Amino acid sequence: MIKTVANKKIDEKYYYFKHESGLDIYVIPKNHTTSYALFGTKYGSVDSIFKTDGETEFTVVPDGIAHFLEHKLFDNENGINADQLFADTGAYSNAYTYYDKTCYLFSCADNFDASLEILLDFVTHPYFTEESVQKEQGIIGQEIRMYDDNPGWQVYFQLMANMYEKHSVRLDIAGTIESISNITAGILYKCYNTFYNLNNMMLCVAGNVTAEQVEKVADKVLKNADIINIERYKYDEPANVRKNITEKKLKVSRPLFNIGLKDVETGIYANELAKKAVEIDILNDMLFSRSSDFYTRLYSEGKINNKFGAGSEIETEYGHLIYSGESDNPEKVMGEIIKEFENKIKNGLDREEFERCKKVSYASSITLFDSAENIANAFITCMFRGYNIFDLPEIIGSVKFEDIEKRLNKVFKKENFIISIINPIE
Amino acid sequence: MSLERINIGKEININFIESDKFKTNFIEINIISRLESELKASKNALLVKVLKRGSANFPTMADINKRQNELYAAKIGVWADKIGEAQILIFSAEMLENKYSLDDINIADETIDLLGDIFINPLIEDNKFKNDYVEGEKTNLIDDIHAQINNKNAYVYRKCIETMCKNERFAINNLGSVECVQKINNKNLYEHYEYILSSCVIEIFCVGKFSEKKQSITEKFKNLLKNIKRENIEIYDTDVILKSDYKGETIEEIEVNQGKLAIGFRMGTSNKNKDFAKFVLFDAVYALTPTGKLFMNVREKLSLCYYCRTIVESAKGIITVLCGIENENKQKATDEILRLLEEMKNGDFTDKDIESAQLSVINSYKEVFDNAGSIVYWYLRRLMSGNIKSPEDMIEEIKKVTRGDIIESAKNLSLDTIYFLQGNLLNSEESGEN
Repeated sequence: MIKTVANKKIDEKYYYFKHESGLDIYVIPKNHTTSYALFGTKYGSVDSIFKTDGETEFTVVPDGIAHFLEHKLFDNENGINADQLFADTGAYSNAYTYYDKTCYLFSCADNFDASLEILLDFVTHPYFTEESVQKEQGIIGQEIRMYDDNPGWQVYFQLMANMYEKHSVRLDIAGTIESISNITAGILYKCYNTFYNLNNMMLCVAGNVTAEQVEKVADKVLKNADIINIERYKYDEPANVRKNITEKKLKVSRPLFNIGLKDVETGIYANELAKKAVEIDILNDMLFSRSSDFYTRLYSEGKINNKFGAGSEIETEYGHLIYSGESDNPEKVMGEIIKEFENKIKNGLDREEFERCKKVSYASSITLFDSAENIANAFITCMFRGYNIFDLPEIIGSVKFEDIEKRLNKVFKKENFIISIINPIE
Repeated sequence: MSLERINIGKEININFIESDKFKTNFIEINIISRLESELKASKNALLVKVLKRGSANFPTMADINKRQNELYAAKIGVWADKIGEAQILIFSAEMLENKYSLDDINIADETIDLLGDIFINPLIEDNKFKNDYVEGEKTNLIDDIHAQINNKNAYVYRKCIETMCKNERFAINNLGSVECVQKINNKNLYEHYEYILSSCVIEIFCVGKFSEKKQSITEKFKNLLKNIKRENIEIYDTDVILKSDYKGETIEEIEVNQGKLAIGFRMGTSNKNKDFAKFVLFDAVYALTPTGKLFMNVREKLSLCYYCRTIVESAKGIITVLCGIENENKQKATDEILRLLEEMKNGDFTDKDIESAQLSVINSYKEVFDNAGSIVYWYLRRLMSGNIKSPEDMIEEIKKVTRGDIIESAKNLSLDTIYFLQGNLLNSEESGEN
């Protein structure tokens, strides 16, 4: 039974049905030339310790295995990989692994049904051999080495490794050359059979397609999956940061920094999580965006340049705010950020600024619908967090000035700041 | 997707592309400046930074950004890009459709006014730019020039191009040089701004639902530009060298982990050519797709790298192969990349390879329609090449390319320069820990 959900205010609708195989399927019609399909599993780099029904012991797998699995899933038993199959339809295909999810995608102007069939088929048919695992170790090894030379990547993962003490979010998504050398075909199958269960997955299609079209292909390819209950290891993450400063040297022109503020409030889910993330976005915009006094002052004093930016990652199990940029004196910038928080807590926030920044959030919840790619990615990301992007404009509308005041007081903990710096090699 | 072109002054045109796909409208002003000296490049790069600092009606960066936020996060972008041997000063605005406004603000009109103010109504003191802004942005621009080392992939590519085009204008860095930035002051930069306005071709693009507003937008731009004296319009042509002799290999040692290889070729053609589709399809079979020769062999078969791809400078006629490898695999990777090119010249590829490449290129051309920025990117480059074609036109041409055309395109390539960044960073040299 296909359900239709419409939001008249944003002129958008979507179709939802639970396929008999167990898969949740969402279709968002758009009058675009191309269509975009995203097939995701709720399995990412953080899921390295887990057990399923009937198992007494937790399984611990090598770091970077979710990403490794993503690469290997493109192989098929007959020797023709998924890229070669997509070559017959003209679709552009790719995949990515994040902390909490792995997603496979294609976009195409023509031959949608055939492309969807390839996508559903290769993701549901693993084929791993020791030989192909070895070959991939060389390729991913070079991917890791490439990131080793990427200062933006290094400054971020150095921050994560030292902001978190125990939670696996502290580890690089791709793992290390050493950790991936421990991956075998057997471990890949173990992870695949646990997490690539259709009940743990979602398909989202945005573009010039109908729900019936998608259902027909799903009927053809997907087989019913037994429900598996997955228990993920619960990390006993302390509230404080592991250390307050962490540095290393790379070939850069001047110091790069990521300043983190660890959020101690966890366990928030669904619409409450969405509202919290919006509050933090608005707060960051009010305090640190280009329209803020802080930015204007530090920029004109030459303490920051136009690379400075504020962001956040707010999830159920963990959360943090991040300030990134370049500066000859990054620690001074951290001092200024802390002072700005203290200043606003003491002297109060500006209501007009709040209204302006709220408009920014509102606008982004609408412009998101201009791109099929953005729609599908945001849809899956939000659904895994328990809320729906169609509800975002309303959630944003419900945020009040007082909510931001409360959030400011709640999130600020002077001792929970950490700075990660990449210094130039002299 | 058709383009309606309206002339509103000497070498000033507005190009309307109607599309009902978006919840936003998109406007971009492009000023096309001939690339001819490092000093001019630095002035252009600095100019866009200074204009963004403040305008007559919005004198500070905070004023501009607050205004953008009031206009429902109107995205204003001001930057300088390089296309062939020309620099483009870009002023773009993406704005939410008026119907989503929750108050009385006319988002489209007000955003165009804001963009216009930044573009044509700068903050001036005594016929000069504000000195603080110029000096502050000079420091930032110098930082940007130094920071080009941070991205190693872009760095090796730039070094390869600079070596290859040593005596050509194309070698000029889009940001100019530190010495040139230091020569700029608030007076000579303002004179440069006046020169740019009077002497450069201006192409304005509007993508979105403009049908009833074409007239009023055209009038708005006419009005904005009415006080500019247009004279001695610059010619922004690009010199294309069709064939070259191999200049050799340069090895630069640098503190990185992974070696980075760049192999530069002259294409023997450019996008000025009516039959450029032939080259596009050659690139697709050789490099562009995941079933292309480079990906299937250098990565999938030999496991030498994570990425192995090409960058095509279609206006200049240069194609460069890039990959990241272990130092000791440099020769192996180079040999393989050149061997695969020989295979292309010998016609050692299947009809299926051609069909797949055609499907893939056609798919990417159709995707252009779904993004306003891509639509402008497409048309600006083709207007500049003097070879205006819609994605539909190009799709028809791609369908007609034959095996012989691809072989001919491969044979037209001439190897020019190899540039290798040799990593010499030992893990022990990295201080700090994770």
